[in-house]
Amino acid sequence: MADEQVRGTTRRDFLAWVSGGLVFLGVLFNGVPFIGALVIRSASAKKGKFVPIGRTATLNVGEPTSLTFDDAQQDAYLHQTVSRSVWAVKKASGEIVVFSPICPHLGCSAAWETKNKRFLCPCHTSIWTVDGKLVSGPSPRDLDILPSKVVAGVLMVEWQQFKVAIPEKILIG
Amino acid sequence: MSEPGWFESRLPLRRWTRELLDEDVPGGASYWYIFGSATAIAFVILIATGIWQLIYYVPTTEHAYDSVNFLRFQVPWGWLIHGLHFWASSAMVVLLLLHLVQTFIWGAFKKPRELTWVLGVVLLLATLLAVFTGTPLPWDKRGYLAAQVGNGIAGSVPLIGGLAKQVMWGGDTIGQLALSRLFWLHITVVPIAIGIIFLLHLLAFRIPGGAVSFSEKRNRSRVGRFWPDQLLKDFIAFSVVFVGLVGLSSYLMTPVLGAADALDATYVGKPDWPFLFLYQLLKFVPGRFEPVAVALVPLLGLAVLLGIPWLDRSAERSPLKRPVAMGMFAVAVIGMVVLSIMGNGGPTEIVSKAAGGASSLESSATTPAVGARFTPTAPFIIGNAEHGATVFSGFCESCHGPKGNGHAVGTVQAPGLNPIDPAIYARDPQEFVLKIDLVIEEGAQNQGKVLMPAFGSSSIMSQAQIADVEAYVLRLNGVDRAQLVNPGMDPKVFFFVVLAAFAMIDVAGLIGSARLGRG
Repeated sequence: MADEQVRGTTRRDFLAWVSGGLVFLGVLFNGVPFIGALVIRSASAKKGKFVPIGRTATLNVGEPTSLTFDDAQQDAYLHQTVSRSVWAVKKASGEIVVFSPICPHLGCSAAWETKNKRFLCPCHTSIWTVDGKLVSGPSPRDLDILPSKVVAGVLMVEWQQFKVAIPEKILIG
Repeated sequence: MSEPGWFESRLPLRRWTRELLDEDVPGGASYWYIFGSATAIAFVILIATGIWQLIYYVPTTEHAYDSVNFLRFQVPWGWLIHGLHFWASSAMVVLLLLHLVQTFIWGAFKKPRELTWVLGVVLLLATLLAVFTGTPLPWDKRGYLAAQVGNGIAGSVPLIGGLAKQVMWGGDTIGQLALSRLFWLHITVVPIAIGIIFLLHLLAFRIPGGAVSFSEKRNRSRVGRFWPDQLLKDFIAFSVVFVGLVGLSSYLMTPVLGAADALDATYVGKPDWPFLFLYQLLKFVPGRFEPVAVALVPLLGLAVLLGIPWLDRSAERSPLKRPVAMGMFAVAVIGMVVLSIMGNGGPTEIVSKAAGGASSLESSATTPAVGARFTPTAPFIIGNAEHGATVFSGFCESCHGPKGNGHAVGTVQAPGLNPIDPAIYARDPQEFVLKIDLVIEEGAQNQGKVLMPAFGSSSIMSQAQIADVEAYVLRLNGVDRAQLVNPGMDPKVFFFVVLAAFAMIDVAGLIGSARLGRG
């Protein structure tokens, strides 16, 4: 009788381990995927995309021009077209620089002041030169330059956004 | 017994667990008794995967389909979470039915367990309601049709049909309100009801304890214990159910059925398998008797099912000594199985060339695009290649040739698509689709002469149809539109890891249990 009880206990202990092991596997093989779905990035790598925004012939040297274009946006499963605008500046050398209008301070829109020949952000009066160099104000850096190229007289730009309020130019997304 | 510790004296979890597991199993533990707990396991998996799907799913007619596919193909492990939910729903119904059949054969519904039986039947109904409200949610072709047909059927039910329509679908039209209400029922009302009924079922079950074997001799001969004997068997059942569901999710991925399309009448769906017998029954009934088949037959069947403990009242439990009850039950089961098999046959697509054809294209080719700016959504919808083949034969075959082989059926010869121009081909399905989409949407012209109509911007084809055709053209070129972008882990590898781990512990448990038992 005593012997049987001892054996019974061992078997119970063993089966408690087996049951515990199976519960552990259940938690593991559900837990890893569940946590994985929660913490691993699910967005597919977005490839750079140049969008035609205008003809270079319409730009005058030293006169920043606001160009508006449609940017195809992907936000998870939402695909939308968003209107964007950028500042395109033709230099004396003929080279074209495209600035993001987003102020690196807190994200307001910087605009070219024709009268004062400078970029101004109306929110906190940050000021930049025609080359996008910071002159004064709380902005932590120069205006952000966007990747651009000219193909057969057409200016193409890749829309990008950068973190604001820090001195470094760090791409978002 | 030592003194309970600080925690145990405040929250006696150990004692409660012991009391819960401490139960006699007269006649010994058996694999016959696992179906109830296996059903509960499927339900737990459904709740967990359902909660996780909520992170991504949106119940809008615009985005439901894309959000489900985003979960399935872009979210790491999304294929598993969605697959487990899909397969566990079928598994829960199967296990419930097995549980019901076993309870009937064993005579386990008899006094004093009538109420447990009734609660079990209600549980089956609630589970079927969960399937019924869940199917439309992806808003794919089948889901949309299921919602539409369900709504139509409800409309033919006398007296309460109109009310049911209003509650479940928000009225007669199948649109956003229907999706919202089905979603609401599926994720709140129905699962909460299942949880409560399940608890009551379990509590009622514990009053007299398990019905165990119908053989009194066997029950007297030996007494097993729920823990560890029956629980070990339940755990092995859990292993089999879980590994099986992972296997199904890895090897038989949920079909991609294409976005819902109210304009596309070529898709002929079937109801979910638990409803196939009713669907087949409807085919035999003349129209004016439809309310009989739709309402009266299921209601009568339900009444009989609920009333079984009062119809078969003798104390005799052995199936061998209840020939009439067993015979009637067998007829009912065989009848439902046969009807279901018949319902599963038959066409699923109407191949109709009248849908497109060169003549209709010529006239519509001159129709200008509607609206100033046309933004196609098709390239981002994951289409169904099988249905795409049907649409292709209606719209594209006459110029591009059967299966896009370049040998035109009609008078206009267009380039072959199988294989497609290497400049257009891409291994990445999204890239490939974006390249062909523009041509399908806007067509092609040469010096004012229309070579190919603007199928998308002139609304000759719906965006859902274009997405299906694109999936088909990709398939012709050996590219799977529904490719896993972020699997988390290769599904087949994951399955083998799960299988190996569970098999190891299960086998160890079985061998150890037998050896230590013999001692």
